[in-house]
Order: sequence, then C-alpha cells, then structure tokens
Amino acid sequence: MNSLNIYLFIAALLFSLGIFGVFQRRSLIGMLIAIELMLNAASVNFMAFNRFLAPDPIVGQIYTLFIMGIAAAEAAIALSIIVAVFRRLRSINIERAQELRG
Amino acid sequence: MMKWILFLPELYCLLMAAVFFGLAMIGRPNPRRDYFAALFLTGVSIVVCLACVRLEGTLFFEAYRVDLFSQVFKVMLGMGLFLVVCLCTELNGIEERHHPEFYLFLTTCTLAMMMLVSSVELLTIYVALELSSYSLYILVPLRRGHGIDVEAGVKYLMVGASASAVMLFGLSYIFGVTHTTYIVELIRVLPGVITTPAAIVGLVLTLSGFFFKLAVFPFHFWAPDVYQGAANQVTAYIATASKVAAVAIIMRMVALSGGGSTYLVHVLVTLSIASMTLGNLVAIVQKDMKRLLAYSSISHAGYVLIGILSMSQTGYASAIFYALAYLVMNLCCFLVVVKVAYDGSDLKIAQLAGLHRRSPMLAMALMLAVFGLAGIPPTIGFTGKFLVFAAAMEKGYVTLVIIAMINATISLYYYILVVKAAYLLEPDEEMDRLAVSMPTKLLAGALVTVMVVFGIFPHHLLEVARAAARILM
Amino acid sequence: MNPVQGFIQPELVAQVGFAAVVTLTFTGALIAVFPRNILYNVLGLIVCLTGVAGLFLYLGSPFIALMQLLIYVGAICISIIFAIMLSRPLHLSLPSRRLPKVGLALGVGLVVFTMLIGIVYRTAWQPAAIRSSDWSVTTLGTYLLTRYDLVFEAISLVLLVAILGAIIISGYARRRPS
Repeated sequence: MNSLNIYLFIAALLFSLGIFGVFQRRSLIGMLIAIELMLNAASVNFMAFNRFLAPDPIVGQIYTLFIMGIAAAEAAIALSIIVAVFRRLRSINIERAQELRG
Repeated sequence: MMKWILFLPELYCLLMAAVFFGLAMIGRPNPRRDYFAALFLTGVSIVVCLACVRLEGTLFFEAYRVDLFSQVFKVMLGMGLFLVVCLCTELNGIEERHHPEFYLFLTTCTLAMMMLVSSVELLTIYVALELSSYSLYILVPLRRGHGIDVEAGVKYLMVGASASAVMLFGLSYIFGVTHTTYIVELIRVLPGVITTPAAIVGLVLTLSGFFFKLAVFPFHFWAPDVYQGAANQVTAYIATASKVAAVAIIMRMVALSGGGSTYLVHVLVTLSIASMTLGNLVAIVQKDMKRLLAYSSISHAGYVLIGILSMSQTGYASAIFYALAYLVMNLCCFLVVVKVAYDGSDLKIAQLAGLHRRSPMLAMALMLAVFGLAGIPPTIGFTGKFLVFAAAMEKGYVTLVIIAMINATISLYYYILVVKAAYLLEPDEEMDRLAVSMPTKLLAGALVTVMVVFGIFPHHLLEVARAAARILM
Repeated sequence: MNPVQGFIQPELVAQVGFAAVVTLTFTGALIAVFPRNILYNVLGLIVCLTGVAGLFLYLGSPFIALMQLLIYVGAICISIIFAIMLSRPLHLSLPSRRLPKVGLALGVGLVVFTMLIGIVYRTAWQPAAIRSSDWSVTTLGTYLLTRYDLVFEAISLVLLVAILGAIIISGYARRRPS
C-alpha cells in the first residue's frame, strides 16, 4: 500500500479498461463512461507521482483538480450532444450514428 | 513596466468574445449587423497581432511566454480568423439566431489557440487545448439541420475526448519522470532521460492529443465526417486555423526531446507515411469536395510531420512555412466551396462543372489553390513542399522523401480531377452565372497573389520562419 | 492498555481498508465497461470513482478525495443518469454484442495494458532530490491564485463555453422540425 508501483498498476488497469470501453463502441454514453475511466487513470498517476516522487506535493493535486473541472465541462457538452443525437435518431447506439461512414 | 501589453492579442480576443456575447443577448437576429461587427473586429485583430509581433517576455509566473515563435503563429491565427469571417457573407449553413454564438465560439477558439501557442506549462497547454476543442465541438452541430451534423459532432467529440484522455495519461508519465511541468525545465531534463521507456511513451501519448487536432493517422477518422457534416465556414476554420495551432504545439513538444531519440523519429516517420498514403489513396475515390479536402488535409499533416521530425532549425522553419502556405491555399479552396455552395449545402465535385464560365475568377482561384495543394510550381505549395523535403534530405531521410514524392504524384491525380471538373466538364443543365461580389473578387485576387508571389519569392517569410524556429532549439 | 486497542491494530486496519478500496476500484471499473445494461455501467462508474477517492485518501489528500466525490460522483455521474433517463429507457433494450468488435477492443486493451505494465515495472522511478512536505489546502489555494492563475481563469472560460454550448445544442435540437 506504500509503494508507487501498486498505484501505477491500478492506473494502468483503469486506463486499459477505458481503452477497451472506447474501442468496443457499444453506446455513446458507454464511451463517455470509458473516457471518464481514462481520465481517472491519469488522475491516479498524478496523485501517485505527487505522493512518492514530486518535489512539490501541491502540483499533482492541482492537476487532479483541473482534470475534474475539465471532465465536468466535457460531460456537459457530451451529454447535450448525445441527447440531441438521441432526439434525432431515437437511439443512442453509435452504430446508428454511422450515416456518414466511409 | 506595462506587462499587460504582452497579453494584448489575447485580451483583444476576449473583448471580441464579450462583444459577441452581448450581441447574442440583444434583440432580434440581425445577420448583417453580426457580420459587419465580426468583420471589423477580426480585421482589427490582425492589426493588433501584427503590432505585437516583436514583443518578448514572460507572464503569469513563467507559465506564458511571448516570443517571436508564438507571435508569428498568433498573426497566422488572427489572419485565419479574419479570412474565415470574410467567408461569412452568406452564412446560410447556420440559423440566423445563432450567428452571434457562431462568431463567439470562433473567437473563443482563436483565443484558446493563441494561448496554446504561447503556453510553456503543461497544464496551461492542456486547458487551452480543451478550450479550443470544446468551441469546435459546439460549432460542428450548429449547422442548420439536414441530419448528419449532430452525428458528425458526436464523432468529433468522442474521438477528441479519447485523444485528450490519452494525452493526459502521457502528461502524467512525463511529470513522473521529470518532476516538472514547465517547458523550460523539460527542455533541460527530458533529453537526458528520453531513452527511458516511460519518458518516450509519455511524450508519444502526449503528442496524440495534438495529432488529433492535426488529423494525423491513428486519430484521423473524424476528419471526413466532420468536414462534411459541419457548416462550410466552420469546416474552413477547422481546416485552417486549427491546423496551424496544432503544428505549432506539436513542434514545441517534439523539440522537447532534444532530437536525441531515434525511437521518437521512427514513430513520427511511421505516422507521417501512414497519414500521407492513407489520405491520398482514399481521397481518389471521393465525390464530395469537402470530403476530398478532408483526406487531402490528412495527407498534408503527413508532409508537415516530415519537416517537424527533421528536428533541426531548417526543419522547424520549413514546417512553419508549410503551415502558412497550407493556411492560404486551403482558405482559397474554401472560398470557392463557400461561394459555389452559397445556400450552405455540401458541394459535390461534379457541381463544379462549368465553373470557368459561371465565374472565371473563382475557377482561377480554385485552380491555383489546388495546384498549390498538389505542389506544382510556382505556387507557395511547391515552395513549402520543397523546403520540407530539403530539410529531411539534410538529415538523410532519403527513403521518406522518396515515399513523400510518390505520394505527391498520386495526389496530383485527384487534384487534377477537381481542376478538370471546373474547366473541362460541362454541366448537365445550364447554370446561371455566379454573382460574385467585388469584395470576394478582391479577396480571391489577394489570396492568389499571396500564393504566387510568396511561392516565387519566399525569402522574407522564410527569414521570419527561421528566426521563429530558432527559439525552439 | 485498552483491550480493544490491542486487538485492532491500526496497521492492519489500514491494510484492510486499502484492500477494500482497491477492490472497489477494480470491480467498479469492470462493471463500468462489461455489462450491456447502461445503468449498471453508470453504477459501476460510481463505485469505481468512489474507490479512486479512497485511493486519493491513501495518497495523502483528503481534500482531493472529497472533491472527487463531490464533482465526479455528485455531479458528473448524476448528470449521466439524467441523460439516460431523459432518453428512452435504454436499459430496456440491450445493444447486441458483436464478437469481432469486442475481440478487437479486448486485444487493444490487453496490448496497452501489457505495454504500460512493462513500463511501470522497468522504469526506475527517481524521487526528487529536495521534497517539500507542505500538503496544506492553504498552499493549494495560494498556488491556484499565483502560479496557476492563468489556468484558473482559462478553466472558467472553458466552463462558460461548455454551459453556453450545452444550452444552444439542446435548445436547438428541441425546436428543430423533425
């Protein structure tokens, strides 16, 4: 519990699960959830480096704080666009949003 | 000492945003008023950026640096914004009551990109990048509906958000290896540890966030849909100003490595070749003009990367020159797209038929712009490609240059198809002459002049680009 | 000596707590991506983010842990649930599971994971030579308004743009003739 590698391992796992969720492209909200997992992986990394390595333990915390702020803004835009898509297509699966694939 | 004057271009952008915010709230929609306000304000912004071009200094506790490199790019961004606004005389792709918001988000996006090219601290870079991306995410689905716009917006957003999450993960590794987030210190520390896997993977993951903006190979697939789905003017902005900012920040990040990592060079070479080849091959089969330009932009991202991966002063200078050339050529293309598809619809290449009789001026501008994109002398596009290839040859990347030249030859084919449509094909039914206003003619003439004159006499621009690139080393 | 104190060792409690937090994070993350019902996914995300907040606690920052709960669980997850509820009841119709796509995603995820694990264990992470021990929230606040004040202003602009955009996009979709 007091080793950097455990935290980095957790972050790597969260990040990979996020990548998996994005690539599986099941639904738009599912992708958004996966992206949140990836952002959290980055947060855990920052906090871990902050705790074990960094010269100044404030910097990592500030990064984590800003990641949360950005994630909130991102969720607001993403959800509003997703709801708009849904109203057009009556479905939120990304497969249906492929009208212009090519 | 008047330090705030260093921040003047950004402050001015903020003021513009405030004006449009006010316009969005008052009264009935009035497109003419919005257009002329935007035209005037963005015109002044070029003057402001030019006036500030020689300033130097740091702001905000060393997190923000104003130097020739950043100021040159700010001038380009201001110019890009102004020229895009020039295309908005008939902004039919966007509902009238949303015009002030359209200009508002264009301005915040430009502001964010100006901050992006000036930031020398990783968190500032990240937040500036997000601000510019969010403005664009909103602009794309603003198009007056015919169905594909919202989906294009969603695709753009999902790819962009994933790319920025990947980038953030990379930033965390850079922070872990170097313990710092300031570019000044990173340039000192990172080349020493660039051989460790964590540092190199951190840097590559970080770059992916910017590769998304430039539409480089693994993050390219949003481009065709977004180009087609967004309103023509928004596409013009995404295709020009946003690419210029991406080139700037990619240069800054690649320069961090100090040129000592062969692994990074290999990654960049691979991405460059993949982007060029994929963009050019898929562009051949396109029927829609904006989709064609999207694939052409993917291949041009590959060419710019050649200059950047040379990691020398000539390389960076050539990339800056190429970015400017690309800005002008692409804007000229979009001028034609916007004017021919004046009702705000998508433009099929077949619809260009008979353009040389409908409007000789636009046909000529299109031909020169397309020749420029293809890299035919004496246009600025040829000079740009020549400089980029020369920089790579200097470093001995012969194979890469040969592949790039083969690609340029392939690309000739579809560029020629566009010119052929405009000059040789006859439309099925007789079309009216296009009413092209005097300002549009002047604008087209100016762009054509710039493309040809700076294609033949690039020395002055190149001097500026060299001086700007020196700052990165 | 208090018998209870002798029985419950602080060290052991901390370890059990850590194990619980890690388990919470992992199970949450798994539930967030694997089940097909979108509501389970969101609940998994909430569990996972709560676990991450616990990790932040162990990493020495109660403030950030609290923010994580407030912003992520309290705001973001709830708005996701709202979006699901505003849409059609999605949890009633499960999206089909396409094997090639899931296989590809699994492959990519595994490759990324092995790569990252290789990096984590093969890098000799060096702590900085001089390390400050100032963890106070006061310093954090001071930093926000000094070294990071530009970012602080910029993010307010980001949030403004996000709010304006959300209003325009959702209002726009509603009034559009369908």
